Amino acid sequence: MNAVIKYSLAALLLIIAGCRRFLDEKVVSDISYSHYNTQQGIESGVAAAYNPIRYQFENEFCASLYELGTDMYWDGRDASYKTQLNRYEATLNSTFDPMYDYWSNLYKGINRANTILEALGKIGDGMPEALKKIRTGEMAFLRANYYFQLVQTFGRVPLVVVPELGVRTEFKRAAVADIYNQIITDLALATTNLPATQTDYGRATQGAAWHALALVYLTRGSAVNDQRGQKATDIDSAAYYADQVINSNRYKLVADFKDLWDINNQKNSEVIFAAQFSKTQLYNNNSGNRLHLFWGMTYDLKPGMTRTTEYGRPWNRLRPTNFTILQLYDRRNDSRFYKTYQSYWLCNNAASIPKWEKVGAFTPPAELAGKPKFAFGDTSIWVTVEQWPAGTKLDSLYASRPYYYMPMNRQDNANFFVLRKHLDPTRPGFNDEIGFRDGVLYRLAETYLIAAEAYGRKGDFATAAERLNEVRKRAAYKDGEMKPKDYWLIEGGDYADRTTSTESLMTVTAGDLAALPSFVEFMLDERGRELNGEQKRWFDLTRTELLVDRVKKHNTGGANNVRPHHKFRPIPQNHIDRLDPVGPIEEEQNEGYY
Amino acid sequence: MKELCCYMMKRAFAMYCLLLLTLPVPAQDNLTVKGVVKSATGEPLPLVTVSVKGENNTVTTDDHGRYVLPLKKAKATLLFTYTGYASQQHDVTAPATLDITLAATQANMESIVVIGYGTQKKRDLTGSVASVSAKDINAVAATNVVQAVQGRVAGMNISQDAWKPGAGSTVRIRGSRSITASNDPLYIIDGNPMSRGNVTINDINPSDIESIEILKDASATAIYGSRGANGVILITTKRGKAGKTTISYDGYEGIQKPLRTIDVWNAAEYADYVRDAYRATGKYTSPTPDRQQDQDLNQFNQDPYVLESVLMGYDDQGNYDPSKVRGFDWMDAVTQQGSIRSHQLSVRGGNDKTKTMISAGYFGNKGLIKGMDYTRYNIRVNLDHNINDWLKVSTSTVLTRANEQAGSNLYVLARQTNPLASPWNADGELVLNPGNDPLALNPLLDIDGIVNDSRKDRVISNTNLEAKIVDGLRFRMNFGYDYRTARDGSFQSTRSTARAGKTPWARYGGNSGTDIILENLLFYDKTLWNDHRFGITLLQSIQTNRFETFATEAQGLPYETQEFYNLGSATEILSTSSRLEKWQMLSLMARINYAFKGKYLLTLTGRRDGSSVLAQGSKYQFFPSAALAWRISDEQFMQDLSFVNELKLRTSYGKTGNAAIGPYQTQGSLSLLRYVWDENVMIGYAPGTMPNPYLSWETTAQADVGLDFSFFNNRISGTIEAYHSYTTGLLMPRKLPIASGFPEVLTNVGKTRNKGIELTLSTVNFDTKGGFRWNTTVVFSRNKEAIVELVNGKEDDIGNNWFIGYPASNVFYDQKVIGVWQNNTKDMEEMAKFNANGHNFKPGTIRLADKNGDYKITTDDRYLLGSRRPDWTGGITNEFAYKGFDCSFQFYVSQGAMGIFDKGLQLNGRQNMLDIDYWTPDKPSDKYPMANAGWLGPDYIFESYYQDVSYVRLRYVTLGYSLPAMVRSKLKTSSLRVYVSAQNPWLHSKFDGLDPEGAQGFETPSTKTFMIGINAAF
Repeated sequence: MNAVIKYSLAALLLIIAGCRRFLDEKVVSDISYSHYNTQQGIESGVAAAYNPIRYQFENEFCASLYELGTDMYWDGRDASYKTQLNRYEATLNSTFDPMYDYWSNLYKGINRANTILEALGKIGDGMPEALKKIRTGEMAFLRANYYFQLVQTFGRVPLVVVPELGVRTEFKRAAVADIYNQIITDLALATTNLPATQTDYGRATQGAAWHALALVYLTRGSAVNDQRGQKATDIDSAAYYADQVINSNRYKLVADFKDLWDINNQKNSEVIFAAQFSKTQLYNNNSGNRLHLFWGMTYDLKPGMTRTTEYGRPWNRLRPTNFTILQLYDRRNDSRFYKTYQSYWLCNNAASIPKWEKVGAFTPPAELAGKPKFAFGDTSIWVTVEQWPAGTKLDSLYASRPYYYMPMNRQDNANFFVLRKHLDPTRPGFNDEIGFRDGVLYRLAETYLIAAEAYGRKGDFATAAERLNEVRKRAAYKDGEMKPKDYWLIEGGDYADRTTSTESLMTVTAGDLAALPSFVEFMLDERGRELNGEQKRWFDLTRTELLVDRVKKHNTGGANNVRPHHKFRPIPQNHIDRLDPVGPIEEEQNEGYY
Repeated sequence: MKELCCYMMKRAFAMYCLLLLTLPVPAQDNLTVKGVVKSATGEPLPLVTVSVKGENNTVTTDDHGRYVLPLKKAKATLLFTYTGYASQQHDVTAPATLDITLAATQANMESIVVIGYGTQKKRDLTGSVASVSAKDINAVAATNVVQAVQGRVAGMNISQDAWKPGAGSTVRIRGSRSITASNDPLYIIDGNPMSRGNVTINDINPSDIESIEILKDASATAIYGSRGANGVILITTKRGKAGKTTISYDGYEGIQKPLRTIDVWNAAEYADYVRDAYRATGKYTSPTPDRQQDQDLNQFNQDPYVLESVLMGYDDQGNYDPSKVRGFDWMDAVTQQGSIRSHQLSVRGGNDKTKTMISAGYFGNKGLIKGMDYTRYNIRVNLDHNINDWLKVSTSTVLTRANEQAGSNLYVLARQTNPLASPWNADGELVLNPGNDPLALNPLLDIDGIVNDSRKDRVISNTNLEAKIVDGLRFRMNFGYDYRTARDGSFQSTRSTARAGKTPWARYGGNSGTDIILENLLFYDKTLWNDHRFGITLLQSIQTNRFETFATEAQGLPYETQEFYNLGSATEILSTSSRLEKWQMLSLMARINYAFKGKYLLTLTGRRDGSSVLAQGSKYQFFPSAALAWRISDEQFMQDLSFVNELKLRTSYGKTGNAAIGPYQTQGSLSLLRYVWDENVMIGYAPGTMPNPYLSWETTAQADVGLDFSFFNNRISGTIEAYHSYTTGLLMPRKLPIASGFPEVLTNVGKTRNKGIELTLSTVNFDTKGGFRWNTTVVFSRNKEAIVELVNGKEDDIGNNWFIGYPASNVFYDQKVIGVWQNNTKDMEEMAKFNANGHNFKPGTIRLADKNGDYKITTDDRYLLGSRRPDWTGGITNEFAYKGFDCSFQFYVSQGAMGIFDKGLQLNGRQNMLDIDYWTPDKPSDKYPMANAGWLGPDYIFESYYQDVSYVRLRYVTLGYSLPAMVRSKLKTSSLRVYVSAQNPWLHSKFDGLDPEGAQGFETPSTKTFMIGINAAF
């Protein structure tokens, strides 16, 4: 019996000894970190690092964060973040969830850039020097962009520039000035490393780095009371780098403002840098540009209408303020208003065309009574800037119009002028949320405006006017260009002038600019007119320290609650809670949020 | 007694065979004992083993309870044994007639209990093992076997995950100890460890089960080493028996209705609610319903049908009668009467050489929500064959096919759809947006428009070869094979709420998994010098697991009739994926059982597990345990206390692990992200998970003290037990400040504690000569789990919602609702102070507790409100029997847990919602805020959803009747029982949603089932 046990044990030991390799783990489906030691790995890491720039085009939160609660936009009926972002209520605090997602996206981008920058430093001969230089420039450019969004949104944030593969819980917030210095260092590197053009459309170029640098210098240099580490030379630098873009002749303004938003003209001569979205949803990681959703109003519920891909899926999230509609534009001469906003819709649903009927004091002529008000393809909705005085019998007035007539009296949070810049009629179905439009971050018109503002701030109004007029001339109606019927029906234009150029009425002189009560506010408005809905407004208001002033004046929703501390968003509680050690709250959180 | 012990011991292994063996010996009239064996109720008992003590001479009773036993000598001691009944022995002198009445027992110390890698007599157990028999399992009409065990085992907390057909249950043995790793127990089916816990248990047909053993303490579970920390559930299936072949049929048919339903506004109430919401914004000025203002409300007039429905409430004079408002009951339209059915046929039989059990089963459950259905088919073959007198082979194989139609969440949509609107347009077609509201989608579209179809096939097979080498030494080789494959297909039509006009979408995916286990076991049993009994078990085992998944998702399918069966025709592939995961384990285990004089018992075990998922260099871990038991009732000084039948004190201590680390987790990985240059795709890889070479298993150290008792002729029996366990090296996804790029990392830090008490008490309340019998079993368990230590020591980790002294998960830490702001001076003054700090409080909005009194509601005002863990749970089962009638019912209680009923209250006069008492200026509620069309939803509404989810549930009531022998013989059946049963017919709870267990939101309502069934054997 002992022998049996002995043999059994011996057999067991043999089996076990033979199985030493049995517990080795071989990874098949996953990719491990050593991938970054190869050129292929670095290229894949670069692509991943570009991804976070898509974020602001992918979700309602960013659209709201950058536009709501400004002088130009307030909340539509279904706006998800109206109380926090437009009304500045107490729920805009550190536990406001989407803020953390926004924060995470940027830090993920920074970590990817840090990781690849380190990998590029280590790869040695594994990759051609010239290529390494370009990729280094791209990563520096992206990292600067991510930090630029963070510093403008939150002020002081942790500044991390090396990758970390281990557990780290200790982060101090860096001074705003240090963050700007890092951004400028990165962008300066990018301007020297990046080529004029890249083989792959969509990669960062030298022009993009110049533009970003100009904008960063302008932002830092705009500070008067804020402490951004601003230097006297910042404005010069802004002008210099903006001019580098302009004088490089690599970019050209699109002749007609309207054509900028043509979905078939995305790769136009004016684009300096844009987040890339593919027509193949999978390539967008099953996301896409969703900005087309947020600016729409309930056109589809109106008589004679149905929802189409052309007119979009109206989510009623962002509604222009009365300031934007009534005051901001010289609507008669500046073509940008009617090229930016959709104000009439054509009947696309024969089944629901309304009939002429008696309403209140209005009785239709006998030959019309009971007949359809309009035909398929005719105007069925018309939104106008008219305001009827109190006491007007509106019911009868509306009934007397051969379309759904929507003057200011009838506009509300579900009925308003619709920003058409982001519409995407190429989506496969009328309810598809995923759109394919590239997300333009920098375009030449903005470069001109940066240059103009910089020169103006320096007191060089002649150059400022020159730069500005490039943009304003393009904004004017051209000779022979047909103006919209609003021109002579509503805006007080003469019918005879319907194809006359307004260029001379739009251009400004150095004297005009010098005479302005506030050149900065004028530029703020000009940027509003040109870049309306392009996710620049919030940053422009905080950059110029005019947020509180403008919101109080023009946004009734936010006027009551907006406070100076709202220039920064609250640091997400998730970040603070996870710190170890955590500093006193004044150290970890922005003032006003604790 | 001692003699009997020795006798039993010698035959410890062969017992099953011998007990059931019928040896045809020619009858010798002069040396024959005969008689009838009956139960206390007078029912003849078939298949009772009658044996001569000390001889290999055994018969079993026939269908009428009769036996005839030829003796070799005139004088003999006869032993009557029958599972579930107290054994008896009688001295006889042949020839004789000996009629016996056997008493059923709850605490039969002689009964055999399955333990890890073997069996043991209950009297010899040192660990904490609870056993549930086939009879108890079949008392409940359950989809899966754990549902049937609910309320029967102290320390085992089972809760239904959901009530849709095929839904699973969550099982916790002695609470949860792990934060991120699984808390599911390890399931062992006929010796095969199941690698995917709860997920797979649905594949086992409850009717095939002979017994379930639940191993709770470290002594019982430590032999499963790295997988034993959450307790072990051993499932043993029925096997063939020697003797007459029995064919049995068990079946039931039942209907199902919702136990509770959700009350939403009807059409007229909804119209009132919309008006109130617009009164708050000033748009609706009339205090009473007003025809003109109704016509002006967008919410009514944007759909002519809705407006018509509202205006029906007015007569020509403009008088309003709410009962005339036209409405549609959406909840009713998406529900149906459910049904449940099970049919099972089995054949059991064999001889002393070969024994067989073959069964085939069908289970079907049609859900309460349209489109939900679950069907399962099983075929099982269990075979035992003695090759010769020292070698035998056994196999168990089951084939399972389960089809599930998961339907869609219609109830969620139906409760929010406008009751004034119609699902159909004038042409009778389903509309997309009822009430013309773009946010409202027609749930009826999904009944045909959404398909979620999954099919699972599975083979579990287990074969072992056992050799008796010398007396007391046995070798067993066990080969287990578990293969499962699942296919999930989903389809969403253009006309479904999920697509709402987008192109059709489909997904086709699946997975397959294979577990192979090979075990070598040596058993050695020896008794030395009469008083020293040893049992040694040695194990060597290797296991491999392989798991593959694949899926393709596409949209733009040109032919809807193809559903998900032709993804190749899609215009766009959204994603396609495949993955392989593998892990291996190597184990060695040793166990020593030692008994001195049969009353001092010791068990020592140790297991060493090695696993591929751990980092190189730290792949092995050792898990020891020890247990002691003292059979006090066997001591001399106890012999005077004749009312004590059994008294055993036992205690154990040991360590077990939780091997819930997935493969490759120690190595870290990159995650795939694509980017495009214009239209050229670039595959990107971003840092995904952080590598963590130090990752290891969690270890639980548990101490246990228990007392098993049985008094007054086994009339009162039970167990009382207390335990204390510490889990260290807790795996936690430690949340990190994402500034480093990683949101979290899985690490072994922290410590949790579980302590609790368990009580099981069985009583025979009545056992009259007239045949009336009433048994009661009560189980009670109380478990307190708490975090002891975290990454930073004894500091709360708010970022992760972890608090020292509170359960590790599902703790609610939030602001506290204390009512609704009212329109009175006091409240107005208070509100003004808050509003000065940026709040927007007004009468009719939610009032939160301002914990620190700074007139600002911030994160500092959060409270620890409660947790999902109940303070205690219990079950009480009563069984009555009288002359062929039997009746049983069970109550189940869960007390002290908190839950969330997310009512989704938007209170903005748009979607329909629960019928609640919201605040209005005239009827100022203190519970719910006002309705206001101007907001998206009330602030802080979520904080009002926490509530107590304690409940008492009547789990089942069953009334059965076993037909008397006379009728049975005419029907040629050996047993025939018919029964009616109500499952889950009654619930008491303050919870105001559907069901505090498994339906805290708008999921499928819990069911009450009424059924009739038959158990027949031929």
